[in-house]
Amino acid sequence: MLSESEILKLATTKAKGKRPKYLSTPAEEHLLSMVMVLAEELAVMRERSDTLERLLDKYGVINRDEIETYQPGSQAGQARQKQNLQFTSRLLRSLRQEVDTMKGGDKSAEEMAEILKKR
Amino acid sequence: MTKSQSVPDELAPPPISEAVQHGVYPEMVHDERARFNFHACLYKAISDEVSPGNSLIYDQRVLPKFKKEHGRKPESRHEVRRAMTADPFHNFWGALRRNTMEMRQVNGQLVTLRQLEQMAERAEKLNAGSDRLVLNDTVEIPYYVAEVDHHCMPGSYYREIVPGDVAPAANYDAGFFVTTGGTIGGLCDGGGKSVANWLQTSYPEFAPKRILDIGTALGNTLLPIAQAFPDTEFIALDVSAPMLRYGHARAASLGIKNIKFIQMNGENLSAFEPGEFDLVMTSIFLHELSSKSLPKIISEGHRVLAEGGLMLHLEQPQYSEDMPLYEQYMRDWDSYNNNEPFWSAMHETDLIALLSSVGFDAAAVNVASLKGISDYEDGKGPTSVEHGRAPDWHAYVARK
Repeated sequence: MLSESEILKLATTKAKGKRPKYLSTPAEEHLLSMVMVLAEELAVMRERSDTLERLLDKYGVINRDEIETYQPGSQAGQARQKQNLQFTSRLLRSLRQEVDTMKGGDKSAEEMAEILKKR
Repeated sequence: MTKSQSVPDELAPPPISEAVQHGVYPEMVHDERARFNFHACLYKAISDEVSPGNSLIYDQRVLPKFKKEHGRKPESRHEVRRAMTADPFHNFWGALRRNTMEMRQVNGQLVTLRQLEQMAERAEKLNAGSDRLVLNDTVEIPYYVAEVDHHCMPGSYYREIVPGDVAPAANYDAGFFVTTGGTIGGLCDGGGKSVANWLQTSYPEFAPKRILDIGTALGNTLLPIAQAFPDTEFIALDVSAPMLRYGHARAASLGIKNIKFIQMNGENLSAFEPGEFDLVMTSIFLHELSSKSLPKIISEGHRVLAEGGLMLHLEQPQYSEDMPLYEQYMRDWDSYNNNEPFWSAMHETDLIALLSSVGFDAAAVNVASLKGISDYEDGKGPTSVEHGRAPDWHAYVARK
């Protein structure tokens, strides 16, 4: 029987044959692949969540309509929105940091290395 | 899911839970099915929403740019390919398609690699004691199969990790439902149903005693034909033991008893007498060969065909002067991007000339257009997808 790590390794091994080049840089190719796997995982989570809802409804634990009409109330509402906002900030981190660099003053590692050699 | 649905029911590809769970079908857990369901939708969404951009950018900028640079229209699909693959939109679409296939293969491997022994055991139970499965481990995997991981499937059709392994076939079976989005039915047999239907309507007096199918793989296409001709003996050939084991077990579990699965390379049919078969066929197979094996298989097929018998090859349409170069290029995409390297050469091969070179009368070669039959009633169910993947085929039929 194959071990879990052997299965994972085999499953993610590339097929024979040179992969065609689609995008301008390898980084873009990697980013796209990662984004698509994230989309895949999101879809899976959604489907799993849907399964949970349907089973909870079936066994009378919750009513699905309650999900649709759920009102969090002020405290829960604020907590959820804070989480949402934090997520959005983290999502846009690289853009926010690009804006930060526009203010200037950043030294590269090489520049800093030169400075530290002299001082 | 939210209650509001923006996609009408009949447009969504069916979930993989609707694939027929025959006797050797791989087991899947919740999230494995969810992944495949996502892939099916990804294929459909790319096809419906992104792919139309390809012909638009061809007309709007790729073709005008080519004409400006060369002072003429493109003269071959290769020129179209070079022009299109310089366009960033087309390349992004290509990257989406390639990633989708890679992701679908990862999931198929995750599903099958964790149940190798169990699937082998289930197949063995269905195959035990049958004289309708004849394996031969002296049959070598030909180089054109061994050196290509077709459709980016690592290990291709023939990898065996455990004794009695059927995993490549199980992976292919599950994935086929995903990539076709249910357009050829829960057993992915719409192609075979179409062929059976067409044979019975076009040749109503045809009452074959023995039919030979070369390159059967797991038998999606062959089974409905065997069902349509229950008194006919079918011989199904393939070089891959995993495909044959799975194919035989699958057929047995579905109650089909008139197919004998034999491990054999179609390039050498010396095991059969001349004129032994009333029909010799291949389906969606010729594009996985090579320039030398293709004519050998056609020639051997002709030899074992009876006088008055039919040879039938089901394939995507051949390239011809009637087919616009843009369409030829888009049909060629799989050749360059989906590990189908012989596809391009095969589809420009003059099949009619090839058939006549082995002895068929070229004037009597019939080319029929066939569409896949799905389980859905007319008008409902998912519609066809892009060139090269649509359930639209040609049947090249010659009579000896």
